[in-house]
Amino acid sequence: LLQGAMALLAAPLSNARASTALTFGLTPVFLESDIALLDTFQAYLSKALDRPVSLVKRRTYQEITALLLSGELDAAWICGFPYVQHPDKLALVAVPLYRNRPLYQSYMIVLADRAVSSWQELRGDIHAFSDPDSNSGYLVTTALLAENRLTPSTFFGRTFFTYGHRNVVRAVAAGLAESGSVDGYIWDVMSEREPALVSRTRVLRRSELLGFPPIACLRSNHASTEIADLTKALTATPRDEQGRRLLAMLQLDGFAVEPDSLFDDIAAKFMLIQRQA
Amino acid sequence: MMGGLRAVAASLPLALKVPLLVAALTVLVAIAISQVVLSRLAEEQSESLHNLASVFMDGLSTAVTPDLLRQDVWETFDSLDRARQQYGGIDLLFVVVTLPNGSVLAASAPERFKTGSALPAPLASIMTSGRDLIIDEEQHRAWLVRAVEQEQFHVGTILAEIDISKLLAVRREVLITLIIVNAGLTLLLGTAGYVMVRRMIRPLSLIQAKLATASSGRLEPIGDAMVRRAAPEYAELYRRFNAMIRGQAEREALAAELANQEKLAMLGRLASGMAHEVNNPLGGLMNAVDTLEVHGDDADVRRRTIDLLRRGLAGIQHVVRAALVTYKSAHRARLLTHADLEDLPFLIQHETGAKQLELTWRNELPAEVRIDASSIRQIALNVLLNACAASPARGRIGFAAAVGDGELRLSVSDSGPGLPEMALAAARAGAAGEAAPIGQGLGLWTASRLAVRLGGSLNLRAGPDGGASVIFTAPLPGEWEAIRAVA
Repeated sequence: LLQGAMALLAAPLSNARASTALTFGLTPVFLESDIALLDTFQAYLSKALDRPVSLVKRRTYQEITALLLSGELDAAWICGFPYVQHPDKLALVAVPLYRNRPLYQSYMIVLADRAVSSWQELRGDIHAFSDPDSNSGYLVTTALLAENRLTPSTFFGRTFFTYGHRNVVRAVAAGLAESGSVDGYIWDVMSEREPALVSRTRVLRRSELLGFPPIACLRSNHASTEIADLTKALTATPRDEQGRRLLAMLQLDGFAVEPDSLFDDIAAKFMLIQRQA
Repeated sequence: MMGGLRAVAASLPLALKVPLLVAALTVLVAIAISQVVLSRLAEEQSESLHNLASVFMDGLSTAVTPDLLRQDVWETFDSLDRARQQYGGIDLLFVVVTLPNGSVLAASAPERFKTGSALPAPLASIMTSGRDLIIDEEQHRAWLVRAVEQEQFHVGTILAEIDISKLLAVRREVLITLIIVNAGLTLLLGTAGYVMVRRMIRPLSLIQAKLATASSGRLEPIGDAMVRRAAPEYAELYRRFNAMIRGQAEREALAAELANQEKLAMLGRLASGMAHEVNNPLGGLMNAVDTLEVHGDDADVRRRTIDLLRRGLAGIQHVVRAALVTYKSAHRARLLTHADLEDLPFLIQHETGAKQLELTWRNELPAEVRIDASSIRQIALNVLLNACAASPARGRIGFAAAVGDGELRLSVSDSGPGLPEMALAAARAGAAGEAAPIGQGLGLWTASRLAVRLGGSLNLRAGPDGGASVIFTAPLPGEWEAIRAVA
């Protein structure tokens, strides 16, 4: 009965929400400033969910994570690192499939013609990180250093954040940074789309495979129909023409529902640096 | 050097001097104008660069101030990188943003200016020079400096290096255009000057050409049509020139008339002398004929009488032949022979006889002398007649003719009262080709003219024992010239 009452109460709320826009947050996990991509993404979601969708973009991961945690966003495409920082508050909606797996790597890149063969030789570098809340663009390298009882400030000569994986590639290619930590998926996609820029860099180290940046929602909202609809819409992308176009633009193969354990390795890295701190 | 130039300038014809002067002035004006244009252009470019630089630096400092405050390497770089692509107005080579301690925060060319490093000394000195625009034309570079301040705190400095090759190229193009245009103008004005001066001095050339023909004896006046067409100054010049030619022609005609009259007078004198010379022996000859008629049978008387007749007739024959030679040979050039002068005493026999003058005759000429016989005979005869006229009764007259040192020399001396000024004036006028003085015998004037025509001269001087002597000398031409002279 109570459940029925709750459902009755929830129904008008749900209907009311159905007429309002779904707010979907985006971080610079993928290629930034790709207006055509955002347009396609929004169009696909609106059609699939049969409701307007409002895409919210912010410069940093932290801003999007904060909006998500505060309930301002219904869902957001965040990174594995913020996700593991808030295991009690966030839940997975779907995980993108890259090369048919929900996995990707972090790359440590240097100038293409730089004569180094191991990350240890990068000591004293000016190093470009993507974002302090990025797994591939910060956590992986920081954890690697932590494993070797090092920190970015002790190992590198200087570090800075570019707040975008593409910017890390630009910084290294221009020589502003001597090395950088970047999302392997982004680097791979860029090497096809901007070969002139990317070819000036090369990958010095590839990390182990880690959970791909997921689409998350508040755990408290995880059971809602709108999240279920969203999960359905996302996992249905390969079966829809517009969805396939979206996937082609993202160079992804689809979205899948994955267990939380996919991000255990990232959680372990987070714990490692937390211990070091 | 200057003197040489002056001499060259003075020797140049007007038709070249004026165009050269025009060209030189044009070049001077062109250089002055070019200087003004180029310096104005340089100022304009500098001002324009300054304005562009100000706008560029305003935009850039606004963009990077927040990044500078946060000392955000990436955002600063991103701003610089975007600025480099956005400002098409200036050829930006690099921009560096430094922190107050002078270290590089970020640069658009990070490979040259590493984050955290110090600026190279030359750039550091530019940055601290206190000037916001420094131009180095030799290096084709300009540097813009802007101190970034926030709430009166110095938070950093922006330094931009600009390639100003295009501006300098524009200046060079302007210079080349100026040179081409000015060279064209100089050439055009020089040519126009040349043509105009040629036109202006054409009347002078005409007079020059007319005068050039004067040496050949044909001095012609300028046609009326030309005089009417000419500019007023030149019309006046033409009229004066024509008046001069008319005067000259009148003088020539007068001289010719006088010479003709003199010839007639001489002819008359000769004719009367000749008649006298013929008449003198005629009485004796008639007597001889009578004698033959009466005593012709006496062989001795007949022989002496015939002898007398022969000598009398021979004397007449000499006189007649001399007159014939004188007036016949004038029309035909022929070389002088020893004999040509030998009959002159017969021609002056009347004068010498009347005054009982003593004639010392010394003809040392070779058989033939390469000089016109007729002219020499006329000179000798004129001077001899003059000497006879000047000599008192029973005076002495000397004549000598000889060839030596490549010249013919005739001298005639007399025991007269010396040389009156009028005689000298007549000789001078004859030598100078001027008209004969009025009221004076034309003998010396004619002889002088002939002497000059033969390339020789007639010298008048006081004689050794009073009286006067007239010496004629004329160079004798070589073999070929002689043949040509005769031909």
